[in-house]
Amino acid sequence: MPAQPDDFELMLRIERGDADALGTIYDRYGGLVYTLGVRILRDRSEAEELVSDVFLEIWRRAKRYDPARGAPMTYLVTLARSRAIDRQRSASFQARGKTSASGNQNTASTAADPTAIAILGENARQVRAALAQLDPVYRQAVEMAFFDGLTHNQIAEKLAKPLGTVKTYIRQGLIRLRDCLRNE
Amino acid sequence: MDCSERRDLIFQYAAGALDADEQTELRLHLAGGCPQCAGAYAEAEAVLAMLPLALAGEQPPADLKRRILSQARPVRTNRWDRIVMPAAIAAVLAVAVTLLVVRQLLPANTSSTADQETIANLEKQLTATVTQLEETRESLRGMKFAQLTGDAQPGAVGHVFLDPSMNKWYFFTCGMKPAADGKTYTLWLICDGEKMPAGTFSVSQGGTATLLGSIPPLPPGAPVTLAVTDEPSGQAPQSPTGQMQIKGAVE
Repeated sequence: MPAQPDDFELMLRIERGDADALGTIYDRYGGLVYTLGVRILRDRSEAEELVSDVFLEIWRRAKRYDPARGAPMTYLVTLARSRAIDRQRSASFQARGKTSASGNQNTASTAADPTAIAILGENARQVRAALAQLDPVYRQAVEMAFFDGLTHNQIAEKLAKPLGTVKTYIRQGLIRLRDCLRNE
Repeated sequence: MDCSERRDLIFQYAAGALDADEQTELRLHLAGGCPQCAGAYAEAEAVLAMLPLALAGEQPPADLKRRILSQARPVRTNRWDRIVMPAAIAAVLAVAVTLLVVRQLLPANTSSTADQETIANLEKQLTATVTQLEETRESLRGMKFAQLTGDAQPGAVGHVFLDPSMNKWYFFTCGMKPAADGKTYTLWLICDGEKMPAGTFSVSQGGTATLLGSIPPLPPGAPVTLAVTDEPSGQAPQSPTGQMQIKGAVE
């Protein structure tokens, strides 16, 4: 079985206009981006549009990816989260009153890359283990910041905690998460 | 705020959890290229990017990949980008630098409504200018470009942009010497052996000139060349008689 190209090579090929490389990156991370979209947007049809926007942006603006700044997965997730939060804050999204997971249930699977499934599965186990070690309130504050796009002030208000306390929750939560992942 | 303090905030910055003024301060600092803070930021982004892995996996619709790939058409870039994009990027930098200066001039913990509004307005301008930058890049696709140079004017360069969607061409040049007494420069559009006058011009004291016109009917796919000659003033030549100044083919 031929060696699978790594993500960096795939991004380089995408920059050169190789649509097959885009397909392989999609096989590896399409599900992850969709999952993140469903979590942030709480709507499957919105998440579907998000996935489409993100992968087409990767295709059209491949030169923007700088390998010196991080791995392709980091770039994809950062881009997806940013676009999802922009979408969530848009007036049209707010007007539609999307507040809970809804839309077409679709359990059909894409032909995901088997190597990626193994790597992502192992990474997922590590992240879940790291999160399980966090104090629940730290974890909640981190998730509110990352998945809900809330600022310190907004989180403090929702949790009815002093601002300084919330800042500590998020900072310490993320530092501990980093340390746990390093030790895994 | 020094770099040690900035790195204390880098995780919250990467998560977008900081308040607007801190977020701006860090964004501008990172844009300035501080290697230590950039490294801390890259690490923070990498940690945060792992978080979605802990979510229960959702499967996108089976045909989504096909739909995305059907829209992934070849992306063509041309020399327009290299000429026009620096100006658009400069516009973004101008707003960003203004924002930085305003932030530095204001007290560290300003609570003035007017100051906050100034910052908010600059933030909006920065976002709008970045959007314009992207729109500029998009609008450049499909444009055709020619760069004109010539031995008679070693310090001069001309640029011609052809916009087939609007049927317009735009010419500008810099570094040209003034035409000799009794002479005027003429721009020619040359296609299939036919030389069509596209306009006459004089250069400013700084050696610059611009011209704008409509693209005449041209055989599809035929190569197009543009050239500037010097011609007797006060005449409307129908074919070049003077010396070739600068010349270039459309890419």
